[in-house]
Amino acid sequence: MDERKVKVFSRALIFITALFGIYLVYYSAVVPGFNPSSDRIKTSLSISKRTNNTIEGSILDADGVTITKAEKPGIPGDCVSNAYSHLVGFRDPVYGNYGLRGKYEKELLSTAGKSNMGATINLSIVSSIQEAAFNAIKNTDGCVVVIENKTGKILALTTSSKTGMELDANHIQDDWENIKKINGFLIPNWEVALAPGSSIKPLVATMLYDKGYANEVYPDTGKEYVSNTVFRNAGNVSYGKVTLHDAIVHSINTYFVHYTYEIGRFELQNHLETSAIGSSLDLDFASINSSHNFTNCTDAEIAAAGFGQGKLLMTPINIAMIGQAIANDGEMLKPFLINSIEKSNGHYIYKGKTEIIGRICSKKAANYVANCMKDAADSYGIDSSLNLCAKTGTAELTENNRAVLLSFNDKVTVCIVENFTAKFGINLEPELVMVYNKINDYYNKGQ
Amino acid sequence: MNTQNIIFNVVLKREADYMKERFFDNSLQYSVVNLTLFFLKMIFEYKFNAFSGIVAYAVLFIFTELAILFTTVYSGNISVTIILNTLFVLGNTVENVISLENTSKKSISNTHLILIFLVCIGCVWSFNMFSKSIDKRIYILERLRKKAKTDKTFNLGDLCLWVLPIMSVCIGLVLCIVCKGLWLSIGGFSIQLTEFLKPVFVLFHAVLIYLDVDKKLLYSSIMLIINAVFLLLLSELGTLLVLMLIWITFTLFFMKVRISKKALVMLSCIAILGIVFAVIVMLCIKSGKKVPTFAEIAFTKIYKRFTIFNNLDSISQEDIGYQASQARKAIINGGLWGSTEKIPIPVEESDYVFVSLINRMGIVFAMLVFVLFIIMTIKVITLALNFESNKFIQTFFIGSVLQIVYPMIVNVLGTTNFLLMTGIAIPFFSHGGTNLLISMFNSMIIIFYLCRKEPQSLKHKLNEITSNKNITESDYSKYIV
Repeated sequence: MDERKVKVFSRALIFITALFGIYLVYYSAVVPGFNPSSDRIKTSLSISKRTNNTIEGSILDADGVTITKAEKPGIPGDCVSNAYSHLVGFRDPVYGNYGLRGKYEKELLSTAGKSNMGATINLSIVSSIQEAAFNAIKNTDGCVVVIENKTGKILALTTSSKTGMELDANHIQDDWENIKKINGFLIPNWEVALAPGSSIKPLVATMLYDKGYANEVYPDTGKEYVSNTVFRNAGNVSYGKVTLHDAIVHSINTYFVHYTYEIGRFELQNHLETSAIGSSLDLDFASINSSHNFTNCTDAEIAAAGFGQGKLLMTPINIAMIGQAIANDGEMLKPFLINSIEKSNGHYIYKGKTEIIGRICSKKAANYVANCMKDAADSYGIDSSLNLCAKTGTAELTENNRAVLLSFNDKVTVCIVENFTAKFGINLEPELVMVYNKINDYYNKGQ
Repeated sequence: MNTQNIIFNVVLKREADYMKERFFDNSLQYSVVNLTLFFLKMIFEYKFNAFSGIVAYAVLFIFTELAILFTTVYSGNISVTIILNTLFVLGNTVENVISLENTSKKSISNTHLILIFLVCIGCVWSFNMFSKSIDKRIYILERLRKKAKTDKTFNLGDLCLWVLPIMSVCIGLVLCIVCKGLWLSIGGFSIQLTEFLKPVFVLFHAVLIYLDVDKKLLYSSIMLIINAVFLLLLSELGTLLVLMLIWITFTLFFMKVRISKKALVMLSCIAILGIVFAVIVMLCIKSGKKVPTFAEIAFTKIYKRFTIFNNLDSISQEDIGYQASQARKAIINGGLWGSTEKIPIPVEESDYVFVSLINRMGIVFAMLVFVLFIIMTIKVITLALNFESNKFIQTFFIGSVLQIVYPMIVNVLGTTNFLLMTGIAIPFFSHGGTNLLISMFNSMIIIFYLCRKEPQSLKHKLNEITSNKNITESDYSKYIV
């Protein structure tokens, strides 16, 4: 080793040091604009610094009952029950954001004046109904949606998994490894779009009524052919001469296939799209997507859509909205979950309001179909004291069925769905009764 | 033997005897100090609660000052001694602070760290200023050793050329077969055996270069390959990278190898084939195809590190790059002057200690630490020129400092995403008993050898003796120091 080599080595080290110093300046966003991705991280860090000094705002139900309430800055409040976990969600630096906490992070952490308290979110959810709905569908791949007919307020919105595992918003870190193992665990069933089955028939019926098919007699032979595809009724039953009323009460597939095919693709498509089916619907807590895929459908598939099969895909919220529209004399409202968002100084930064999506049918059509559904409910043997209108649906999926029970009374619409099950829609009747009992208690108390 | 040779041998022997005593004293004392420091630290760390981290630090500080006292009494290079001890004290402070934070969940502010550091430096400087007046001259004499059968060192050296590779193989086999990992558990302590590969590697090269055997490059390459096989099997890529860097340094600067064009072409072909093989294996791993088990073990980790390196912006929090993405946030959060807000990083007390330092103290302070390491290295390498007459000392001396600086560079560049991340520890700063032990051993070597200077004046005296044909026996005494 000689002096020349020592100089070369020393210069190499000095060069590496200088290069590393410049790199650190670039990498660390010390100089703004030098490294855009580091600048973004710096911005998000400064936001998170602010959030660490803020007490997360509370989330309350429609009556001011606490769902979450934080006590200390930087630490999210505990959720009172797993019934709300998917709604409330979580905000975690490692596992990301989910639910209302993710969507309304900015509001929940926005302070007013000198207070370090975030804004409060007041939901339209009623705790007692939510808990009843949650307990009704436990251990199933299910969902319950409860919408107030005249306002569009969502009184209950729950989802469940048939694995038996519930999302616990208070223990995400502990449960994450198990959560990862269950495919689609963090996609709530109210966002899952599958075939609606016969629960679509009330909507199709309103279209047929307005088109003047109410009194037309259809000679049902138990089979209906469309483009070499044969459609049958459930149980291969043949009902003989039937009208629209009979078709709804007995859920006659062939009737709906026949008249859907007769009316045609464009009328049906138009009717579906008027009912917010076939596109993305942005709600104040999530976006739900439904589709009819009519541009890529054969005649048989379009005819099948008439009784809720084919390529028609709808979420439980879409199905519930149909019931709400029929109960509301044909006027479909946009469901909303958030009544208001209020800052700690009393200033409202958001107020939920009733919003009309559109009129899906005439008032007469709505009333007619409601009466048919009342008769259907009686035929199912649902407790008549509840005074419900109902329609079952059992859609065939690639694996088992989707069981649907859509119902409404003069105040609320309830849609109970169970996916990938061996059950039929009628088998959801006990769950329906459980939920309606709580709903009636709530309204009877005059709250 | 003529008179001049007799005088030559007598003078040299006296000097050698004199230095042997001092050598023994020096090494013994510094060894005692360092080992005591080490065991005290271990005892405090394992026996007491987090608060005693501060107490342990205070004890370390006192004994470090004693170490400086000994070394400055026996002379040596002050600046290197100060830098080494500064890094040692600072590293242990950082290590204790991070441990305190993680156990007591209480954050220590930047002010405390700065105060501790200033007090430490203040004491070091004040004592060394005081001791500057003491005579620092130590004359050391080494006989140039040629290959002589009567020379014990020659036989020892030959033995080392066999024993040291066998030692590496044994360490590798123990790690692969017995431990099936990097740690050997003995009596409740975990020893990271791969840390011992580095001094063995350096010692081998010191002996190899000292003996000036033919085909040095071949033996050196074989030693590297032996270590590489085991390190690849253990997926310990950081240590392998450090060994490769040390090997390249020795090859380029020490071995004076002349590679023929044919050999160069062959080496280039082997290197290209190796790179192509590595790329193919990693592409197979990426697409999920089956590869030979050895290749899978060796390259899976490299592939993952490449993925992190290339995709750091798009890595999500649950991905394998979580550590790297948190490290980036910590660096950005630290900025120039540090922050009291802590960004959590897994294993921050060992692999990511430099990033933790940036997070707490800022880039400026962290770069000062980096620069301290570099300055120390440059100074030591420069001082190594004094040992030109004894290649063994020179090589081993430089090897000791390379064992300190290369892991630091590889770790720092990896954890800041400048290069691929490797899990190697920074000497003094990273948490780990074995790493600290080896680092202290290397520090001992550096500080000890700094006390040994080949004086040009004595060389001149020797030349005088040998060139003066008329010198008498009575005259030789004036040459005795």
